[in-house]
Amino acid sequence: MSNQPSKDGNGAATQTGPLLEVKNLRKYFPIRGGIFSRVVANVKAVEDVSFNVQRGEVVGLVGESGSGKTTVGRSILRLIEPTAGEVIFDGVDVTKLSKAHMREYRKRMQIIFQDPFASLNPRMSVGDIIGEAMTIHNLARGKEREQRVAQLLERVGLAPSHMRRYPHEFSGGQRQRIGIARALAVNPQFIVADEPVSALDVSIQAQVVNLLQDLKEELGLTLLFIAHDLGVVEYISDHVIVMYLGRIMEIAPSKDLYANPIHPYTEALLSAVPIPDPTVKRDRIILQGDIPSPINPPSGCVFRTRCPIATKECADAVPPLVEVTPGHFKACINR
Amino acid sequence: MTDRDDLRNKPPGASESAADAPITTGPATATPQTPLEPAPADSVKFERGAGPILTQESKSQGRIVWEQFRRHKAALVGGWILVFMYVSAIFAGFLAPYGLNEYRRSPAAAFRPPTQIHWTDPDTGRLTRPFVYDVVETRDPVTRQRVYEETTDVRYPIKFFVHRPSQSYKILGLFTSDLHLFGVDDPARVFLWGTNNLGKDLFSRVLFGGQVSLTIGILAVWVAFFLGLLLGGLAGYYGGLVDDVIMRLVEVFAAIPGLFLLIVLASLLRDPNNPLAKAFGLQMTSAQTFLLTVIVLGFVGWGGLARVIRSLILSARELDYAAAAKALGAGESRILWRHLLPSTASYVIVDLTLSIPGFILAETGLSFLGLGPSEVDTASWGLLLRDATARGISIQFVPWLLIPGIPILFAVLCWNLLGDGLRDAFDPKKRR
Repeated sequence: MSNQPSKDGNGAATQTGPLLEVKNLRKYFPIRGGIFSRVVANVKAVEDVSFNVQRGEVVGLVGESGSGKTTVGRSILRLIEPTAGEVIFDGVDVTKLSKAHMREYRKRMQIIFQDPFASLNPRMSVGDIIGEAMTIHNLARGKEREQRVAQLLERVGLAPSHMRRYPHEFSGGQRQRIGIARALAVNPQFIVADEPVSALDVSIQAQVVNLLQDLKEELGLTLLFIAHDLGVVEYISDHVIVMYLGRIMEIAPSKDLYANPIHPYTEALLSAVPIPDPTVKRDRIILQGDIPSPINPPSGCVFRTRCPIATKECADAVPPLVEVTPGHFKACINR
Repeated sequence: MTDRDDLRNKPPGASESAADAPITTGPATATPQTPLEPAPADSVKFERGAGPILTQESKSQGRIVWEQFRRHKAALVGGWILVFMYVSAIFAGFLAPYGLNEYRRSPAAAFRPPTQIHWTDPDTGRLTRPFVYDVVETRDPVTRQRVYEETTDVRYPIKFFVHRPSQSYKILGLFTSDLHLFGVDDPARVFLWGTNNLGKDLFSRVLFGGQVSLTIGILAVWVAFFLGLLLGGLAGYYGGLVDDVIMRLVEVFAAIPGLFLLIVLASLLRDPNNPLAKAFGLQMTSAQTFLLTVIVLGFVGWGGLARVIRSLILSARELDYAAAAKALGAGESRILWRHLLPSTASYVIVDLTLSIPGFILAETGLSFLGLGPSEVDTASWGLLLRDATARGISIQFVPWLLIPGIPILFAVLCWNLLGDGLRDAFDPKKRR
């Protein structure tokens, strides 16, 4: 379940609260200029984002390019240090952990990257890529390590003999499988999948999504699935978070969101999902213009500049996330 | 990757046997061993012997680079010429018939043209053991030009593997010997490439000069590399103020004309009033001037390398696989040594190789201006070329004094070819 942090999640996983709570997360990237490299402006990539991820669920995080979804994912793992806010993983705020402590938590949370060509070190064999984490954390070495790498390769649908090969010998889909095996090497509880299929052929996308789904069930994983395409997310997610320009627009249970979108931005995104039936006609909502600059976002509701139902009041205050039906939140004053 | 790799993509959750299937079933028709299918642990060995698609051995990055390099004919030729040049520099003492500073006072042999070697017997016209005549120098009574005449009464055959106890040498500073590849008996002399104003054998001096000119480029590149890696690495890794200060320093250095900076530094360091020169002692030994030249060259040349290394580290830090290593819990030093630096290695190797010829040329220029290794007991190709500018010389009468320019040309050309070949071999887009 993903909820406002103030609310308790309902449903299955309530043994010890949510696995991940993100509270008021902010990430500003400074822009420096002048001879003395003063900070002249900030790119506000993530602005006051809060959500929960319950144990064993898949939360989809969607939004167009530049909405800050990747920054959220990377901030959770502290690949980027957040500017402000808390990331509470299993009751511990990981943003305040020392490097040594953080290392322990890195065994529990992992990431799968978008670009399978950039995320594998071309100079290391597949066995070394997957086995590196076991060496770092002293989990296994020698023959034992090799066996575990072989198991992981089989688990993601590759052959154990592939461990002696190098990344350049594999296709995009296969490389993504290697990336997944690497993330699984430390037996994590939680995985951030950062647009894991966006760089793949459509024919391969389904295979990788299915693989993630299977792994989630087999290993009891919790996933934060980042994508810019609602179609992919619908299939795998229990909850969906819609982001725009660094802010959350809508959070809803997956079925609810697709059947009954509230926020006009969600509506626009949904209308862009292709329907595999040529006889169905649908009114597409075409958003005008580009996403505004995150250096200087619009006042009030950040979506108002492109919103079909925007009113004067939208510019006054940032709309709060309001719960409409249980588990369904929206940040819009006109709906 | 090719399409067939996609075909090998198994559906997720494919069973173990399905994952192994292509290995054993694909080319199985050609392999009678199929019934004896070994356990998965041995399947690697089995796989190698089996069929055409999955069986080819997997190549490491290093082997791919080597195979690509081998196809680059020009680079190979350049590499072999360099090997030849370096080997002859190492064995200069053996290959040279005379010592570096060996000359005879009387009869002097100044400005001798290359000695003519006779292959045929002048009486019978038949091929014979190569020999030379002694040469007598006279002056043309009208033009006062030197005239050399062979005294044909005695033949001096060229002897191989001669011992000359007066001219012993050391190879790599380790093995002492007085064995020379060839030589002739006194009073005749064999000057393959003529002599300079003091009657020193140019052929021998070019060989000995190679020891300085060829090594100085490599040593200077290491000095520049060390400075560049240290300062560029610091700038790239820490960024901020450190980066700014170092990069402005590089820009200041880049703004000063290179040769000017070289001359200023070399002459400053040689100034007897300079504390550094005082520390060396007023009369610097040849080893000291050699070292000094290396340091000066490296000090002038580090800026470009620092820039390259800084930018490489900056870009490598943004790579996803560095982020992946961080997410896996790898420490900073592990990320730097296992992920960042190896990714820069290929560029650095190429950059180093391509900057060696620049250092060779810079050393030549310095030596030519008299600011390189001293003439006392060393030679370098630039220094040898300086002979051609000696007072009262018209180069058209002593053209052989330009011969040291040829090895310079070859060394610079071959290092460039080698660097080009390495660059292409490391570049995945140029793979053939």
